[in-house]
Amino acid sequence: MRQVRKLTIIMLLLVIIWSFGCAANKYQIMYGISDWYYTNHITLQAQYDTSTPEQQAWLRTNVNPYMNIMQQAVIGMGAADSGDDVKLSKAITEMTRIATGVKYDVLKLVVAIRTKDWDELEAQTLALKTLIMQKLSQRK
Amino acid sequence: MTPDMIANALIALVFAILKAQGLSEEEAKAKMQAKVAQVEQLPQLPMDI
Repeated sequence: MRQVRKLTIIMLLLVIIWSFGCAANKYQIMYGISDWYYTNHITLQAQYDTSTPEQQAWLRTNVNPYMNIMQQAVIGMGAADSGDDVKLSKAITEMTRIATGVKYDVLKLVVAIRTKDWDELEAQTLALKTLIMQKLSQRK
Repeated sequence: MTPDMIANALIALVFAILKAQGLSEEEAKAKMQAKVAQVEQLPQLPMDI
């Protein structure tokens, strides 16, 4: 009987370990998104600064708005995780403003951030990253 | 080694893993928060919308 009780405790602890594993994975997803944005922002800013006026105009229309949407997604994601509702609302408002300007649907992204659905957030940011990369590949 | 000793050893092992997991989660969270803070400091890229 005593051993059964101990085995039950072990099983419960294993479930707790599993849930901690999920939490660590959540932070890895969020770190991955933030790191991608940070690295690409620095690269793109440097490219922008050394581009011709025509290339700069092209980047301002075709790439930078999507990067700025991603930046607000990162800020919103961090705010949602830390429970900062003011920062979260500000990020979502700005994200929506930019998205409306370029006619990009951010509804699923906003819902993922608000509901802290990190897997969906990963999927939505992956779609946005792919779009940015596609746009960059069309650069003349 | 009795079944009781095995159960005790398993519980000790589980607690050790739990502690290590807890620490790695804290590290992962701190790393993520630091990177998000860096992103927040970046100015928006210029855009025409």
